[in-house]
Amino acid sequence: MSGEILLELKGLRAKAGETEILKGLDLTVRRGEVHAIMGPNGSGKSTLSQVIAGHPGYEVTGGTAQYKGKDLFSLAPEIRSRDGIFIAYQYPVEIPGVANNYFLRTALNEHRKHKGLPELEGGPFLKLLRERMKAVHMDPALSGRSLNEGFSGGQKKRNEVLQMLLLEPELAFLDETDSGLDIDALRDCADGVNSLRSPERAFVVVTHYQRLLDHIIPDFVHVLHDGRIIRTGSKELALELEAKGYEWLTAGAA
Amino acid sequence: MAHGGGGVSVGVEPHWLLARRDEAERTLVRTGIPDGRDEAWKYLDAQQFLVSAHPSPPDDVSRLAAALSLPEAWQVMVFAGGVFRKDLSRLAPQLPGSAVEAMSTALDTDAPSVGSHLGELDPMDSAMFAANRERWSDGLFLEIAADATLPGPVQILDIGSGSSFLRHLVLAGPRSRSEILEVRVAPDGILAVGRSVLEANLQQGASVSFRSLQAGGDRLRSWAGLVARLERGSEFSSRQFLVSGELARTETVVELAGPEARADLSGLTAVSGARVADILTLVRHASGRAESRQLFQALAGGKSTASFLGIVQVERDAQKTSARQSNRNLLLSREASINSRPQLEIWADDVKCSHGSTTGRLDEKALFFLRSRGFSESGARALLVRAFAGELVEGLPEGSFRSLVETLLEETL
Repeated sequence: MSGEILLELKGLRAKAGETEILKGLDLTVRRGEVHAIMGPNGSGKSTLSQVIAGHPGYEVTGGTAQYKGKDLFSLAPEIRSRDGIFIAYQYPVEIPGVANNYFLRTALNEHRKHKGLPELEGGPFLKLLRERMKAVHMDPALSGRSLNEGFSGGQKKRNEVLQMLLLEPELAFLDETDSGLDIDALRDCADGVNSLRSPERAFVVVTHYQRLLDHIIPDFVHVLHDGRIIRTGSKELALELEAKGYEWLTAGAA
Repeated sequence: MAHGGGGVSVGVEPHWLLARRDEAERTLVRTGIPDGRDEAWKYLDAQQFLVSAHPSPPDDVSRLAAALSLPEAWQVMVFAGGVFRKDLSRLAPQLPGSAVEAMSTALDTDAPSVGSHLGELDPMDSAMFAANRERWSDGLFLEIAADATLPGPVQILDIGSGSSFLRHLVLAGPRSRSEILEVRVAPDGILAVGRSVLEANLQQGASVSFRSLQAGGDRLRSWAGLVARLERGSEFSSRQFLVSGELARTETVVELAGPEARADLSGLTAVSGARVADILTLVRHASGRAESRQLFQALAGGKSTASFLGIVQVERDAQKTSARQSNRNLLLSREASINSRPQLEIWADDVKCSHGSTTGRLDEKALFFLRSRGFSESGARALLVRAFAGELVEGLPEGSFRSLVETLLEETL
């Protein structure tokens, strides 16, 4: 792989409240690559996604992050999004009173405006929406409902992947997208990701378990422990972790 | 047409009316003007509704009349500074057995109806109602014949100019159906004080739908009383939007006087800056087997204050009453304040009554989520605010009234 660097994290440190969670994290992601970040609970996996998204609840205390050559932390969350960063959340929020399709169309059009494209309204948008919903096997009735309100766990995750398919990000973080999913939903979500894979895009798949990586084959597997990446390997590393657990790596690292 | 805002020309008024004005004056002297010791006036000073003001420029009045006469209205009755403006109104031929006219006209043409109902529903010890009863100058008189359905909504367009008192009287005959739209407005930048009362008397099976909107005037102080009495099987619904103006206070007093009567009261308050909006409701279940529903929502930003005092009284014999009240509030800034006081006074034992009150802030998680999908911060806020206010707006029929509400909400928030 020798795509252009999309994201480069150097010595990244971040706190949630008073607790330091990321303690000097290095990661380089190039276009075309798929990275898996694995780690036990509490290793900082979700914090990493939230920091990349720009969540105000996390404070960056050290290190640098370059996205497409720009200082990521100088960009507001909406600018990061419009400029191609997407986080598929572990716990998608429910927003009563905001129709899913209205939300999706507005988000898409914010992105299109940013790219200098005309907005998509009415028919053309609905056509695109129907296609994408079909791709993730999502019940068409869910497009008119309030965003995620009353959705099952699988429907929420499909909805996250649907947003990704519509927004076509350049860099997507999937934050434990596999958690709580049955095998069909898992496969649909993985298919969604795979359909977007291209030499221009990169994915960072954050997961606790190896099983998602049967469906989304990573180029690199990183082990996150205590806020740092302690080992990087190929996809075989994931299988090894599945077989042996994390302890053989983390015992000496902490 | 300049009018100071006192009574109509006293010399031509019938004796019974003068007697009633005298009675109101005595009530006012007895009660005095309420102050902060009065529970119902804890967050707003009643004196602020009793100041005098200069008339608004005539051009502004004409402009507002033209802009806010709603196309969906069957008839538009324009009042400016408490005076009926036939020249600015849009009138239709009278229907047999029904009347849509100014109170000043009705005193001649429908004197017996006016005389037997005027002021009969006013709460006894309310100084504000008494002040209106003493000094009203004009208003809408709407009488609907038994079994009649009005061809469309009647609009009251109340343009603030100086200091005014309006009194509207609605007599809904048995099984009649009617809709009333009220728009209260004043030119921006000019103090105007409006105090209006709408009295609605619903006979058996009558249906009256009332929708009201304060549609602008950043110096408008508006006190609006709404009193209704519901006979057996009648239905009264009101939806009030307080989304502009300097001070707004509504007092809605409803008596469920017969079984199977139903009152559906709702309102949306949206205040910002230093505005104050205050809602009081008093729903009295005098008869059993009647239903009342209340949903009041408020959004408060800036240093504004939004208050709700909702009283439900269920009398001893009002068994099988069903009463629900809900007050939901959203604080949009640190300095805004919300006061929510539900009060249930239940003397019957076989009733279903519930009330709920919630006050919160915009969901930060939702806000961040939307931004992380590309929404601007202001766009995300606006969407969440609209989602909160949506229920009461979406229940409105399509039309210019609804568009006005939507536009004003956008402007306020």
